[in-house]
Amino acid sequence: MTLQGESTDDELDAFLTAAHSALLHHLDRHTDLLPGLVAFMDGADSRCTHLGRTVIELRNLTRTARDSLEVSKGIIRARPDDDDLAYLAFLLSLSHAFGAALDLTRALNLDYRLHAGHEPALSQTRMLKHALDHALGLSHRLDLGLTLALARARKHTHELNLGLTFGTDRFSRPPGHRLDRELNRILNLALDLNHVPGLGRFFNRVTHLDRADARSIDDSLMNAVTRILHTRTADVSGADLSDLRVADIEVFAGALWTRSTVWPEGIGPLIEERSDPIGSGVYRVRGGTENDPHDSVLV
Amino acid sequence: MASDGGTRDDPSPPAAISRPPRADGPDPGLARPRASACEEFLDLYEAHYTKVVRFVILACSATKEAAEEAAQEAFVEAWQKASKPGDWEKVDQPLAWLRSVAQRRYRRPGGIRRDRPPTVTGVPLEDLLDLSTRRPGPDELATVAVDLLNALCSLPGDDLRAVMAFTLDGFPDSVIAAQLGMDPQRVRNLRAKARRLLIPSLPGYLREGGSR
Repeated sequence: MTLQGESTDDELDAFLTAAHSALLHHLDRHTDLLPGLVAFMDGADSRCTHLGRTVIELRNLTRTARDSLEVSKGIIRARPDDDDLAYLAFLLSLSHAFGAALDLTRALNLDYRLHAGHEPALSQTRMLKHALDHALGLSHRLDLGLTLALARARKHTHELNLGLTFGTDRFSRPPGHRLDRELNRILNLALDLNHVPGLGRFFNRVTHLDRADARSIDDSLMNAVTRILHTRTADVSGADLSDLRVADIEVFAGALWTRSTVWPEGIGPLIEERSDPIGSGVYRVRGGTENDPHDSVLV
Repeated sequence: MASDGGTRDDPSPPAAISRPPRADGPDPGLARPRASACEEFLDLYEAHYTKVVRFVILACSATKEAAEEAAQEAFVEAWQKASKPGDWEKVDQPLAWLRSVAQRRYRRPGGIRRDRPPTVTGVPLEDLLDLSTRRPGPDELATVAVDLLNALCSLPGDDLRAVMAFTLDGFPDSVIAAQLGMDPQRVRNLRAKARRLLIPSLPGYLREGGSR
């Protein structure tokens, strides 16, 4: 590792830099963030929710999110005190997980046939694990009795990821039967979920249909989340919303507010125009068909 | 020199840290961390957890498991602080503070996490965790990292290791001095001493240390 012309100080710095980075690389690969997340979930109840603000944020998220996992992630982090919403987020996470599992199977088959790199499959294992993390958190929060099964699925996924990262030779046998076994375990998980009312049919559809159908289920779940969010009254009386970046003023439809509510820059006058007093210094934002739809998009 | 804390990897503290939740909002509810602050805190956790674990390993010669416990305790303490109006704002250097708390927690067995380990109702913890993640084979740790650990382990005194761990994470001397309760000149002296002592421990990497 020593180089011609380097001083001992330079060499020491080079060594320290390399070793310091290598240790972090090792820890990133072998450290599980879940215990800490569980600790926050256990200790964060009701601490980080101003429900009115959360409803607005989630409405905005459903309009701007790139995919359903992002919405699911937003819900789990916002932790609204709303089990229906949390349950839909759980379904979104699982739908995403099984979509990733289907793509993973395809990537592995392609990898074997074409001797392509493992990167597509690796990317899918990461997505799968991510989605299972969210499902696990929500399952815990809703006490669905699925935590153990999901934790096992997550562990298998992690093993897949490790195998693909380090053990190319371990997966060279056709058709990567170790991977198949792990995937089957994940798919069997879906059958284990049948005891939860209403979930069995959902999972049979997601696991036995192709990716396009899985996407359509995703879309249905997203629509359900949007509908639920619009049935919830967003009471932002006195809330500071100044740091919110909203894509459409319609996210405020039906919101209750007072003069002490702090709006995002430039939104206040628009809100006032669209609001009616309902008494005691409280106003309500007119929503949906009550406003000119051509006038609502901000971005 | 490697760096994390204040320069290369962490060019600026995350928003949750540099802009704590406002404590003087018009609604009492806003005195608590808002949803976005909560999200930012989780982002902070995800971005910095392993770096704090690494710090404890290097500063305390801790095992990975013990360092993880200490780091978790530090983040839980930070979260509790962030939940109280005004408390988080008083933390001057949050990323350095997290490391100091983790170091203190490591040296004080019986912290909150040891008393109340993370569990999910009805599920044994070991079933929740990636056991393969928590117990990697020793061959998977790069040789340079093992040599660094051994070399730091050989340094006499906690302060030498702590100064080196903070320095490797990129914190300036003034911040290190504040965290360790000493003046910046002493930080520089300790670092110079640590570097001098490290050289003979690293044969093969440094010419003065001998050939490999």
